[in-house]
Amino acid sequence: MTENKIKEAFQEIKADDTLKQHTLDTILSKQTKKKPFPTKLVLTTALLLLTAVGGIFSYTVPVYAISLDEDASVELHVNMYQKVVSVSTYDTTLTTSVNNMGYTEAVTTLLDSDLFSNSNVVITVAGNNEEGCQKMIQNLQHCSNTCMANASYNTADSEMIAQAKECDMSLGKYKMYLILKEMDPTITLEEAQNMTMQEMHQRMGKEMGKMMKESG
Amino acid sequence: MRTEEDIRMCVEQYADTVRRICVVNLKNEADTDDIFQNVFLKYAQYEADFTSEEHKKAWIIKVTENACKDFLKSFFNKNRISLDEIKEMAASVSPSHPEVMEAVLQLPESYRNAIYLFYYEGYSAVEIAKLLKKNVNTIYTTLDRAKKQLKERLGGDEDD
Repeated sequence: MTENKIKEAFQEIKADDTLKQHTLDTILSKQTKKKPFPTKLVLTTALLLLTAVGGIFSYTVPVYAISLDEDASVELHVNMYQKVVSVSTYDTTLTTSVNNMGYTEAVTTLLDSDLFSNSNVVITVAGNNEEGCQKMIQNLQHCSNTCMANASYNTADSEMIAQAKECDMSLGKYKMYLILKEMDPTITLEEAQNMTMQEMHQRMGKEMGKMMKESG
Repeated sequence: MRTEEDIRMCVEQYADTVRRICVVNLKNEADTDDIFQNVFLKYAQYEADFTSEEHKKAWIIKVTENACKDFLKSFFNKNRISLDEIKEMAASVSPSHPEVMEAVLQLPESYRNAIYLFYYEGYSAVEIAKLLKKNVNTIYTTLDRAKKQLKERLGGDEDD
């Protein structure tokens, strides 16, 4: 009996339409006035943009250089993802593009091309990370028969890349010039620039012969 | 942020429930307006999904109870209202059973909420305890005492 009476008493309590409408009007006006700042959306978009820009930037920035020197010289610029991002040529023109190739594939392609006779190619790997350079040399030495049999390898640091660029010489040729200059300080940069790698090798052999005679 | 349609439906569906809890707690019609806006604004801004309609109803009840409690915490709203004002209020909100509403409104605050949830909304003592964050035994005791007081005021069987 009491339960029914209580139910009926509560049942009579209603919210009138004016109260409902007033509440709705107030809430809806507050909602249109104060739209929340889409923080999550903005942050996610910014993060995606940053990642995309960072990704593109890191892809295009070279961190290693691989110089292939014989009579012709080709310098490959390799990014952190081990892909060739740009190529510089000295005394020659490339007929095949090696851009975006992995560096082992690019070197094999170049050694197999007409640019190099494969008799005495010097491959110089340079970069800030000495360990990385050594690893790249190991990978190159084992990537193909061409790479293994027909090239000699050495490393250089990134400072030398800049110096070689200043002298308008490939890295391998510039390194050869420095070695030669130690043996014969009279050799000039201009002279070296006009010499082929083969000529430099010959000159080096000559200088070594002289040194051995002098010492022995 | 909820859609306008969603808010309209919620107000339409639960306005009476909010109003009843306001009557039980505030004993003053004038303050209901603030609580109404407070509760439905919270709903409009509440982004999580409800698992069921029952879940949504329980959320509305809980938020309304809390809004009333917060309102009563204010120093200016602590003043007790007189018996005459309770009579006036009971007659205004429940013209067919003013004596029943008057008896309910004269109960202590915690008893009123338990009685409303138990008799009108049909919640069990366990569900009320969960909703009001109280011990189940406390709710059993509250309901028992509330029923006894109602019987004294209204007569009849307290086990009804």
